[in-house]
Amino acid sequence: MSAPASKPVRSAQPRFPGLRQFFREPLGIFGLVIVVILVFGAVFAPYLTDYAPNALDIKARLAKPSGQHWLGADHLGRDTFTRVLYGGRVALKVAAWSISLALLGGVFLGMLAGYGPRWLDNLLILIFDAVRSFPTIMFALAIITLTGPSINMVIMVIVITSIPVYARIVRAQTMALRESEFVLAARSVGTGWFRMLYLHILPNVIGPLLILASMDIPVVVTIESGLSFLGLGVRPPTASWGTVLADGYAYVRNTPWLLVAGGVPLVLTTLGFTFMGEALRDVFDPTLKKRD
Amino acid sequence: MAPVLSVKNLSIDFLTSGGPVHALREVNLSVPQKSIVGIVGESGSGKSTAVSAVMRLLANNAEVRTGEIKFEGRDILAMSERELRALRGEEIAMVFQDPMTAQTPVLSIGQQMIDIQYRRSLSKKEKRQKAIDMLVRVGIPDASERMDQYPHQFSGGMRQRISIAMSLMMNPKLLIADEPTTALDVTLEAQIIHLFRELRKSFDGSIIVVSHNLGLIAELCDEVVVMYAGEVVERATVDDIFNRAAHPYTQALLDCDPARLDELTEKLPSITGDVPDLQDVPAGCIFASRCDQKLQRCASKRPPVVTITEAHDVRCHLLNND
Repeated sequence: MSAPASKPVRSAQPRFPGLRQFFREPLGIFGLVIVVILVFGAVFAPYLTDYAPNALDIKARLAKPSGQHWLGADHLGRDTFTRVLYGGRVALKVAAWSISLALLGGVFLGMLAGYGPRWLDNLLILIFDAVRSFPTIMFALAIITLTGPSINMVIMVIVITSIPVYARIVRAQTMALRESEFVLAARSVGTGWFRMLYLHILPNVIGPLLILASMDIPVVVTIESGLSFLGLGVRPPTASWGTVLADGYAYVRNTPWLLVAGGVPLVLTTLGFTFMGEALRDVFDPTLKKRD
Repeated sequence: MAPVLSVKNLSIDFLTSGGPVHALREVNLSVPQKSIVGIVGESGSGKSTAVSAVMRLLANNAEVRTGEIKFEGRDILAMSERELRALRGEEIAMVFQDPMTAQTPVLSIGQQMIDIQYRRSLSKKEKRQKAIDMLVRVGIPDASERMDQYPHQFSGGMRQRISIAMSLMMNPKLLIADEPTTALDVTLEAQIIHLFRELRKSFDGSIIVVSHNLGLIAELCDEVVVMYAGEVVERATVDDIFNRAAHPYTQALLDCDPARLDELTEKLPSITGDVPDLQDVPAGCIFASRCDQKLQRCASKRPPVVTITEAHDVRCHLLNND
């Protein structure tokens, strides 16, 4: 027996010990700040600007950045700052929907493949590999050419091509975990397969997966912008970072700020979510927590 | 009284790409009520296979060829997955060898101990209290505070105590401890042995302790089963095993125990030779190739089980006078 008169060992556990860790990471805070600004800008877009995203003002055609038009105006006189804000809405909407649906499907199919019978695993892996063999952009181009451009189609294509990526990771983790002693120990106290999956396997795979997902957000945003740039994403009058870029592209010699306005948010999104993802990793892995 | 667990004539093969490995052959085991039975043997002797078979937690490539496992008269080998789940934890529980990997790393100890009681219709508060009581019982200081900590915040010895607490949570009738001290250092080992002795007084089920540590067996058990290369070679009370061992393997095993050496020796005695290949089991006595008392028939004829007293069986030709 250990010392009987031992004092309570660290009885005052912080409520969210991981959060503290997160805020100790300067790059994580930097990432979080960018993400917060992006989300804030997208959510409160109507309150942050006096212009409507599609309002034409021919007098302001290709206006330089000024007090009136912070980021200038495009060839139809639409306020670029407003369009960038509204473009963020599209980008984040696509990212949120496609990543959450892909995560949901990936976790479900991955655990099924990893924990289920052998034949099911073989079948699912075959399907995953078949889907993965198409490059996402090519797949998107092919599908959207057939169905016509729409934001829902973009989301669907991203979900279909992302599920195998997540599912493969979940499957590999599940297979490693099912051989672990704590799973055996859980079986030895009568844990059934459903309980095993959601209580013992899922919490062990979800952490790394969420980090991966957070790092995938910029990839999805880039795909959406790329497709919109090519005219295969949002329908033309709608603002998207891709359409802002496309509109500015034609006038690049005279009005370079239009390209900057469309490009900088993309760069910031990538940086912000990547830094945040890196910092999140420390939070989700309890064994990586540094000692106080 | 009928035994809690009786294993009769159990043979298990592992199907490998190189052919079947005959891991267990005609194993008999009986665990009387409220007793502690020890299973000793060197690595690879089939101790863990035997207890895993009792829980039906064998690897997928294991095949039960003959025999029966009866728990309170019910045939475990015939049970459906559903019946097995009701059995595991509730009636038979297991403590595993390595405490560092036996708990889910991402859930707190408390969450895990509360979850084990999912079949009980108690409030969360009552379940929590039961879990705390159980942690106190296995000697975790400040149990109610430490409930919210994660496995990695505990030391190895503490984690083995927690494993034991978890397996006792549902008050099973049979506790199987598969080498509970092998992964721990000597001082912790002594603590865990002490804990089991304490539990003996309060726990009213039976315990199977698997170990290659003779000291632990001597300290804890009522009866001992000695296994060698997949066979039970001797079964006796603890007193008979340590004082009147009949099988040459048991004698050799005892001679090799450093704790039992009376004087300083330059060289620790060992049993020469190797364990036979279990893919190609020899025809005669399984221990014949390493036995220093072997007779002519040992190499060709499998020895029968000889009963010395009611509680002492040996599988050896030396005691077979026919």
